[in-house]
Amino acid sequence: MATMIRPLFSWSVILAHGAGLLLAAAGALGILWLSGWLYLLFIGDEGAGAMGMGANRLALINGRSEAAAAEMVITDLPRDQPGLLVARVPPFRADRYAWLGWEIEAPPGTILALTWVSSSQPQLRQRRPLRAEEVAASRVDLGSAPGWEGQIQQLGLLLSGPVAEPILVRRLLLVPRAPTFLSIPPTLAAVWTQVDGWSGRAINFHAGTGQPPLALAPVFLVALWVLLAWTLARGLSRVWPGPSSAWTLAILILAGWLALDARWQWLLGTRLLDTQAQAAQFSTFPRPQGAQDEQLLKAAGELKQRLPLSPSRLFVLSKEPRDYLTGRLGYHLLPHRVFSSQGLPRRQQVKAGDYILLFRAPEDIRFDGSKQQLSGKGVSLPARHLSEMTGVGSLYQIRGGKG
Amino acid sequence: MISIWWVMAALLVPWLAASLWLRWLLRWDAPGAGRWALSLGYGYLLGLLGVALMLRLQGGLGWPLEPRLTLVLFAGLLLVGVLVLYWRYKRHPAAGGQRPPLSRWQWLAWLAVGGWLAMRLIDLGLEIWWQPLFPWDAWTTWGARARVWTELGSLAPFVSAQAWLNDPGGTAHTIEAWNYPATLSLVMAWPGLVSGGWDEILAKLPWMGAGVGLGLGFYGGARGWGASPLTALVFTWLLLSLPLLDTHIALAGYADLWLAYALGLAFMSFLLWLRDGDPRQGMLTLVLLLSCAAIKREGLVWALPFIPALLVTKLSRFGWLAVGLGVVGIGLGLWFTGGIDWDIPVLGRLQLSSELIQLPHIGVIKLTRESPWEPLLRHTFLYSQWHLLPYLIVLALFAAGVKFWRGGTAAWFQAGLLWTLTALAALYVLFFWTEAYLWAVKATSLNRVILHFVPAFTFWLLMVWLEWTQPPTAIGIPKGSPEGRNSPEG
Repeated sequence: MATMIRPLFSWSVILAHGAGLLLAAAGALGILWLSGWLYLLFIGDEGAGAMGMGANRLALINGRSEAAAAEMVITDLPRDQPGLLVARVPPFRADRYAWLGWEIEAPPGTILALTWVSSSQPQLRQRRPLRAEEVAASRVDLGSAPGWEGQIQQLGLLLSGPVAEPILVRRLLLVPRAPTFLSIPPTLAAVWTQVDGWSGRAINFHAGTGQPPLALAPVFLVALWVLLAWTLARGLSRVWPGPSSAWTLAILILAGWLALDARWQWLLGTRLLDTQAQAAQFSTFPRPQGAQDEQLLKAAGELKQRLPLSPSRLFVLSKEPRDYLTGRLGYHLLPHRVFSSQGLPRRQQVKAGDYILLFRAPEDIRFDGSKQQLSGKGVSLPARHLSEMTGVGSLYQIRGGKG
Repeated sequence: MISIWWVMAALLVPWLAASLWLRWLLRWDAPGAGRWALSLGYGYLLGLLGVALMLRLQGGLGWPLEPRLTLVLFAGLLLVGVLVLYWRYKRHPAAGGQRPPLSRWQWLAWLAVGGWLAMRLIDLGLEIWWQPLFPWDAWTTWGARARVWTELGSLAPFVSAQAWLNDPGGTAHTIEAWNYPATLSLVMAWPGLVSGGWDEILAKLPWMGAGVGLGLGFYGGARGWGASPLTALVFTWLLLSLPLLDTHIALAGYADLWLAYALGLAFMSFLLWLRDGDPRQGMLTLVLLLSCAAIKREGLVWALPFIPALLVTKLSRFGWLAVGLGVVGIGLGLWFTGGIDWDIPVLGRLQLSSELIQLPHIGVIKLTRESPWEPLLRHTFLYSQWHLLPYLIVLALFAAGVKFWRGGTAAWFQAGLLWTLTALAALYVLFFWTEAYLWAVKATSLNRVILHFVPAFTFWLLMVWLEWTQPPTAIGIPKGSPEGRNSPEG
C-alpha cells in the first residue's frame, strides 16, 4: 500500500489534490446548508421541530386529573393558588421557538398565564399573564415574554380554579421560528452541541440527535455531505485532477468520521466531568448510583448487621419486586440469598430461621403480634418481629419448625 | 485491604502468559507483521477465559475457589513462556517480524491516530474508575453472581426462582437470569478473588483490558492480513471510536463487548486460516467460537455463519447443489411433518416447529412475522452509535459484489463476503422472524446484538478496502502458498 500512497502525498500533489477536495467539500457544505434551509422552510412546522405535547406528556402538578383516551381531564384545581399544567419536554433553547399554542376546552378565565423556568434564572418560576386575545386565539407569542431566554427547563400554563365543569386538555404545541438562511448553522450547531449524560439506556443505544427532526441527525448529515462532496469531486476531477475515486471517497469518509468522533469525544469529556463530580459527592464505598441508592446502601448495611454473617435466606416483599429500588436493595444485601416477591411465600417454601423483610410491601400483609404471625392473601406464617428499620421497613424471622 | 499489586498480577499474569504462549505457537521465527499485537490481543481474551475455566473447574470439583493457586499456575506458564521465547530468540535472533519503511508523514499520522486512541482509552478508563457498577444487567446478573462468588469464596449455585422456593433447605441463590453462562461473572470475580474482597471498580477493570485487547488483536490481525501500520491503525480507530462499543467499555459489566471481542478475533483467525492455510489459525478459530458459546448463549448461534463461509472454500458446484438440495429437503420435511421435538441426552430438548424453536443451551425462541424496519433504520443510519459504519457496510457490500461479479476473487474473499451476508441474514431472521423484534422496537438489545458482529464487520471492511485498492498480486495469494504467510506491506 505504501507504494500506492507515496505519489499521492508528495507536497505538490497534496496541494493540487487537496485544493480540489476542499472545494468539493466546501461545495457540499453549501448545498447541505441550502437544502437544510429549504427543508426546514417547506416541510412544515410539525416536521421541522414543532413539539406537540399530548396528554401523555402533560402533568398537573397541583389539582386532580384523569387520563381519558387522548385527553387530560382536569376535575379539580386548588382554590387558593393557580393550578400548574406542565409539559414534559426536554430542555430546549428559548430562541428556537416562536409561539406556544394549546387545545384546551375550558370556561372563560381559566387559562391565566404562561409559565416557565429558564437556565438564566433556574431558581425562579417566571410567568407572563395572557391577554384576552391570546386566550381567544389559543396561542401566545413567545418573543413577547420578558425573561424568555437561555435554555428553557420547564414550560407550562397556570390555570385558575375552582373547576365548575371538567377541563379537557388535548395538547400543547410548541412551534419553532421560521428558519432563515442564516439561522441554519446555529440550528445545526445546537443539535451538534446538545449534551446528554449517561443514562440507564446508554448501554442500549446512543441517539445523539437531540430533538427531532431526524433529518438533522449528525450521522445522516455527515453521510449526505460525504456523498455530495464525493459527487462534486468526481465532477471536478474532469477539469481538476485529484486522487482516485476510491481514495477520494476514503478521505471524505475519514473526514466525516473524524468530525463525528470529535463530537463523541467532546460528549465523552462532558460525561466524564459529570461522572467525576458525581463520584466526588459520595465518600461511601462501593459508590452508590445516586442519592436514593446511597440511602438504600446505608440501610442495607444496617440490616446486614442484624443478619448472621453466613448467607441467610431472605424474602424481600415489595409491591414492585422487579423495580429498581427493590433490585438495588437485593444487590446491596448480597451475599445473602435474597428473593423478591409481592406476596408471602407458601408455608412449604420457608423454613425456620428464614427472614422476611417488608420493604414497601403490599398493605394486605400484616403482622399479628399476639399470634406472632405474618399473614396475607390466604397465607399465614409463624414469625417474630425483629426490628423496624428506617428506609427499608420491618424485618421478621420465621419461627419454629416448618410452617 | 485490597492490594493494587495483586490486582495488577490478576490481570497481567494470565494475559502475558497466554500472549507469550500464543506468540510461541504462532511461530517466533516466522516473519510476519503485527504478531506481538495479535498475540497480546488474543492472549488477553484467552488468558482470562483460561482463568474462568480454572475457577469453574475448582467449583465443579466442589473445592473452594483458590485464586492464588490459579495465579501461581499462570505465573508458571508465564515463566516457561519467557524461557521458551528467550531460548528461541537466542537461536533465531533475527526473527520477529519486519518493520515496513514508512515515510515521516505516515509515522506522524500513525502517532496522531495512536494518540487520539490513547486519549479515548484513558477517558473510558477513568469512567470505569469513577462510575459505580451502573447498567442494569451488570449488577442484576453478571455482577450479582460475581459478588456472591467473591464474598463466599466458592462457586455457590444459582437456580431458578421456582427451584429456589421449592428447596428451603438448599444453599443456592437465585436471580432472574440464573442460567446465563458463568464465564463473565467469573472474570468479574477474578480481581476481587485475588486481591481479597469484592470491589465493583476492580470487577470492572477486565472490561478496560477487553477494549485494549480488542484493539491490539484487531491491529495485529490487520497487519497480519497485509495492511500497512497506518492503515491497520486507522481501521483500529474506526472500530474503537464507535460510540456503542466505547459505552460498553465505560459502563462496564455487560457481556456483549466480550462476545464481540471473541467473535471478531474468531473471524480474523478464520480468514487468516483460509488464506494462509495455517492450521494454528484454524485451531484458534475453533477455540474462540467455543469461547463465544461460553460468554453468551447466542454465541453458539453466531458460529453458524462460519459454516457456509467454510463450505464455500471447500465445495465444488456439485457440492453446493447437494447442500442446497439437502437444506431444502430438510426444510420441506420439517414443514410437512410439523417439525421435530427431540430430547437429546445430556444436551437437552431440540424442538423445531412453525411456532417456536427450542435449542439446547440457548432456550426457546418464539417465531413470529414482524417488520421493525423503522427502528432498525433509525438506529443504524440516523442514530449516532455506529458513526458511518452502516453506510460503509452497504458500500463495501456493493464493492465486494462488483469484485465478485467480475470473477477471479480468491476463496477467502468469497468466504468473507458470504460470512458477512450470512451474519446480516441472521440478524434479519432474528429481528423480523422471532419475538426478538421487540428488542428492536423497544431499543433494548438491537444495537447490542449488532455489536457482536461489529469487529468482524470492520475487519471485513479492511479486507474489501485492501482488495479494492491494492494490485491483485499483493493480496490475492493462493491458499497455502509461502507468500501467503508474509505481509505484502511487511
